[in-house]
Amino acid sequence: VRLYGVAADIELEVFCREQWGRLVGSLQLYVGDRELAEELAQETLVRAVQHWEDVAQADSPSAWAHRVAFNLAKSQFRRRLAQRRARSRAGVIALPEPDLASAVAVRAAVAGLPEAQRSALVLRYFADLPLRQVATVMNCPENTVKSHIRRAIEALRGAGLGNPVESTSSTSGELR
Amino acid sequence: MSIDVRELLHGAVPPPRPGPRLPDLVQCAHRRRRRRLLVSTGVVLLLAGSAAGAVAVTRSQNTSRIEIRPAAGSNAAARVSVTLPPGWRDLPRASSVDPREILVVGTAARTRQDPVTGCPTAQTPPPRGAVYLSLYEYSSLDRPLVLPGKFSLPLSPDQFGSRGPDGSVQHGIVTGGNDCDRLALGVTQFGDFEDIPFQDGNRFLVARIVTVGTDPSYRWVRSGEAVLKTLHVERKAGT
Repeated sequence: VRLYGVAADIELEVFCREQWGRLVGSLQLYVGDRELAEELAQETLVRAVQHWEDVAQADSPSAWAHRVAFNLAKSQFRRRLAQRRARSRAGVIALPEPDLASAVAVRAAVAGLPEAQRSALVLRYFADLPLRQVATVMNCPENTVKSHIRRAIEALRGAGLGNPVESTSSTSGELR
Repeated sequence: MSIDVRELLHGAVPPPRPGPRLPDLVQCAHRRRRRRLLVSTGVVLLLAGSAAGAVAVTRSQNTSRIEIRPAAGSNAAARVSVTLPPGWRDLPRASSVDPREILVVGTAARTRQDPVTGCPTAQTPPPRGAVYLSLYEYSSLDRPLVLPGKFSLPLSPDQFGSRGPDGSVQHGIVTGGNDCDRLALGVTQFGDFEDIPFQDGNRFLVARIVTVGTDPSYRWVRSGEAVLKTLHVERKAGT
């Protein structure tokens, strides 16, 4: 690990502190499991530390972190899901977190979205990445991202979550 | 009532628990780097070992041990084997009677000659530098002994020296020169040859080393002697 002095240390520490919450939240919405989300977020930050020299030079370190995190999630999600099913078959049931019913409903609705729509929605409106960066992370055109987001919001409406509308408060790019 | 999708998502996720400390992340990254270095080093060593092993296996395959078992007949007890270095091969034996040809190995195909000579006349002669080792066995010392070949040089029983503990034999009674008929039609090159009568246990043998072309340093002949040194002879049963 090559760090360049105190400034780099501070920059890295700020990055990790800022990204931790965003990564855990995004991943929790994406994989539907807080424990797994924290593991994946921690793994992402370790990788960021390992490659900080490159990450710091990246166009958007946050987008880099989310790309790594979502890739990790894709590769580990199936395995963890299988483990959870096995535990469930064995009669070991995880206790639900104390939570608001509405939050659970939103997470359930998001978890029920197709993978591409879920990624686009979470990256755009939870991780607050600009459209261009969401498109980069998802490796698809921006118009496709927009389409995924529109369909995702329609699906949330259909799930009885009121009338979610596309946000206009972002400073990092608008969905038009 | 409309609700901002951003607020909806943020409200659905509880506040995160405290994240890992940077020193812990750095330490973890260091550990991984060390582990990766160890694994890389291990892989490199493993690959190097595998390559060395493959070379060793290839060499061991090249140095094959062949077993020559005599055809059924009156001398069926004859059993000899020799270790072939790379480039050498087992060759067909001719139907000589006494001394009987029991083993022929060489670095090139055998031409139609009995015994093998270093002055081939075939259209596609063996390449210069080819070496042959022929092994002949005498059925008995009670009859007149001659070297194989058209010159039929006489031998006496006291010329059959014993092999050393390392398989070495005394140098042959003829070293160098050639046995080619210079007047033979089509002879293109001459060779060296060496006849080595020796005794191994209760068996009396003569080894003939023949080279195609002559080598003033006798390096080619020496390579045949090296193969002869690996000869293993089992005792003849019933005597």
